[in-house]
Amino acid sequence: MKKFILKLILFSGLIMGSLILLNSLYVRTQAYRTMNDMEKFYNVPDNIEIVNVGSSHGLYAFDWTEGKVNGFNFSLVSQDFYYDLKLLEKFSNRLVEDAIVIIPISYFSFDTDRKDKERDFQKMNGRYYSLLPPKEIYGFSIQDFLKYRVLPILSAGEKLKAIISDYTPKNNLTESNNVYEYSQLPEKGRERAQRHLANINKKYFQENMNYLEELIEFAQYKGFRPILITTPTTEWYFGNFSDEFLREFSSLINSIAAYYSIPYFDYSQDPSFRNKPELFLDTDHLNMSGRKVFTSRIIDDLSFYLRPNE
Amino acid sequence: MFFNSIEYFLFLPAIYLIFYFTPDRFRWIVLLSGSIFFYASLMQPYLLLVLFGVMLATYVFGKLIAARSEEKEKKRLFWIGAGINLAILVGMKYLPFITENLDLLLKAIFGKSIIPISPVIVSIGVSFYVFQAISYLSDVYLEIQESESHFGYFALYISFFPKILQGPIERANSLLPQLKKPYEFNYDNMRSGLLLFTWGLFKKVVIADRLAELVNRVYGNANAYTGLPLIVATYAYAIQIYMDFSGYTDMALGTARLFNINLTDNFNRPYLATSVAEFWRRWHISFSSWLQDYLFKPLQMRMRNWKSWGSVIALLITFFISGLWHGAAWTFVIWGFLHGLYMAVAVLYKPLQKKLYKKLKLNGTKILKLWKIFMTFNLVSFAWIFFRAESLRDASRVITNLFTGLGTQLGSLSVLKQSLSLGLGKFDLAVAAFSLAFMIVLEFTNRENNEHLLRLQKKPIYIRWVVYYFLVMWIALFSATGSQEFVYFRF
Repeated sequence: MKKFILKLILFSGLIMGSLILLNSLYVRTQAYRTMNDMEKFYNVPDNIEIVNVGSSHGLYAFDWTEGKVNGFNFSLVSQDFYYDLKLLEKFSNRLVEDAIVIIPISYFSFDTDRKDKERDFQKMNGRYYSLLPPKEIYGFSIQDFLKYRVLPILSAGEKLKAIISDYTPKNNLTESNNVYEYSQLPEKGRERAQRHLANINKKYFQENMNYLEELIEFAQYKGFRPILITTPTTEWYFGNFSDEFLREFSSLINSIAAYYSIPYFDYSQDPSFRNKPELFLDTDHLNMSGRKVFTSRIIDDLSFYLRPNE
Repeated sequence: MFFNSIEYFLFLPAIYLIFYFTPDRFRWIVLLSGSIFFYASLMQPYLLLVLFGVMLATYVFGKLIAARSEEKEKKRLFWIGAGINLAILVGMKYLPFITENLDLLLKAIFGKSIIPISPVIVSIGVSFYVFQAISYLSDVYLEIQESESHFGYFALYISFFPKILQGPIERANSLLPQLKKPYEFNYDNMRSGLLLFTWGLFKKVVIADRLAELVNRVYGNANAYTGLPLIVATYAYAIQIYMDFSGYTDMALGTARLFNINLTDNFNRPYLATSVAEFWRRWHISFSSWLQDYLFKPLQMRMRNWKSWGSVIALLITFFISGLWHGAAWTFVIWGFLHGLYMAVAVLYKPLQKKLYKKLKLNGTKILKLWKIFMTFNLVSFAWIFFRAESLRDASRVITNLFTGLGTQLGSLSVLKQSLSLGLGKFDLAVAAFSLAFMIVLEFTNRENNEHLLRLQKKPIYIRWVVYYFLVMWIALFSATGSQEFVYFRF
């Protein structure tokens, strides 16, 4: 028994030692540090006047680096209202008292399915382990805590190669062109819209609606000014949604805005963007140029609410 | 708590240490309470009641059967005991299926719903220990096995944690004596047990879970695919379910071996079988031998006067039950029936086949063997379509579109690439391909299941440790991102 336990301890030590060593090399790589755009959360500034939360539509729509206002982009790809709320709660002390909180709402924001896409869910959920305390993590598990927080090497997957040869993962945020040819837009727009429509699952509606309400109420409780926005898309995208769908969507968001007495701006079919693919990365996400144009537009449109950054 | 969870990695050493430091006469208490705790960790309290009901009913009827000398009375008691177990199984697992189909039938006749549809409830493990309980009652009735007088050991026989969720379905004469044996620390068993467990974990988290991502993508949206993706996903599922279930079994056997208990190995390189009948002698062995001993043989005996047709009918009934055992859905019934049909055809076609091989001088040739392996694998894979599909409609869509557009897909490299990746990145594909190639080499070079692990243990320590090291590191670094439930937990 003694001999066995000794060998077991020795072997476990060897494995742990190797994993810790590889982990320490991995967390220093650019590939890990820039993964999922999480790095920005380690440098959240103070006195933020305007923030946006949201998923990829928000991530690609706002660029506050121009310095006209002190803003910050809390969006992450596939982020739902639950994590919008948790991030706002965590960083609320960095915001000025009457800061503007932009809440982007897309056509399918209320229908995010979590558990159904196990793999994506785990990956997307995993990124918050390094940022939020366990009680704030949706469906917290010790196994994921080990994988994403304690030893991220265990969830590195193909990024393992960065230990040997470091690299910066491709980031579409720096892209200033449309990835599609003009002729491809109708087909790609239809594909994307169909995929978004196919993913709509009404069983998540109420849960997501509750989190949106909590988010608005939290922002108002803190004295912030929440604003609902639907970011620009192209006609090749929104044209695939039926009039009835768009009418229902618009009426739903307007009713939420009216209930909380907050403004709602719908840019999804805005004439300045709808037929300008050069401002988009694809058919419904803005590229770097589009982001700058849209952020300027938003600052103008919200000038009534904003204080100038002096 | 599943074998591949962190909770199990804490539970197992804890239960082992308590077991080790407990005197022999109390060790069954440690294992029994550990098993109950393990089953209770599913957080479904009614399952504990069901387990207790099965234990108690089977124990009592086992004693009653053994106490009677009159054959007729013994038989009557056996049927009552087996009936109680079957009633529990039907109540837990088949009521929604029965009421749903009855409702459909009555709706067609009367034009409206008359009976309420029973809700689906979680019944993890029930099919396995109910079949084990029935085998015990049968063995006591046939006087192959004495009835167990100690309720504690009997309860442990039914609920022993390594096999309660997913088998193997153990016979009393194999497991009960082992549970009663005094425990002595055995270095070889500890080493080989841990190695077997780790090997099973590798199959599950590196191969099965990775392939599951591809399979789930295609079968979860069967409408959206035609041709190559369906073929790839179907073959991938054949491998996924094998790696998943045999991985689980390795982990169960490895765990039990730490306690000096040898459970029945459920697999013996099933995809190298040269016929569907042989496949069933190599796949889920504890279940197929149960079917053979308690269902097929008695049926065949009853119909022996019908010669080949007796066997054919017995096969069809047996595999119909086998399908139903796997799940309360028509997809499983058809899957089972297909296997029955394959074998029934083989029985009837055998004389002709013999003549044909003789005429072609193929008997005993390697070509014939490879051809048979190839055909069997394809027949089995085809049947898996029904097993995996979410509905009969999906299964029929998959079958109808299996070859649609295949020519175009094979003709264009970019379409081919897209069809083969199916959402898995290059990295995942490379890991899956490498791990699979490794497994295939082992399957072909082994003469019995997991023989490579036995061979490894005879190697010098420096070779062993290098292999152990790489195996564990491979699991740690290359496990699939999304952990999946074991496929057979549903049954």
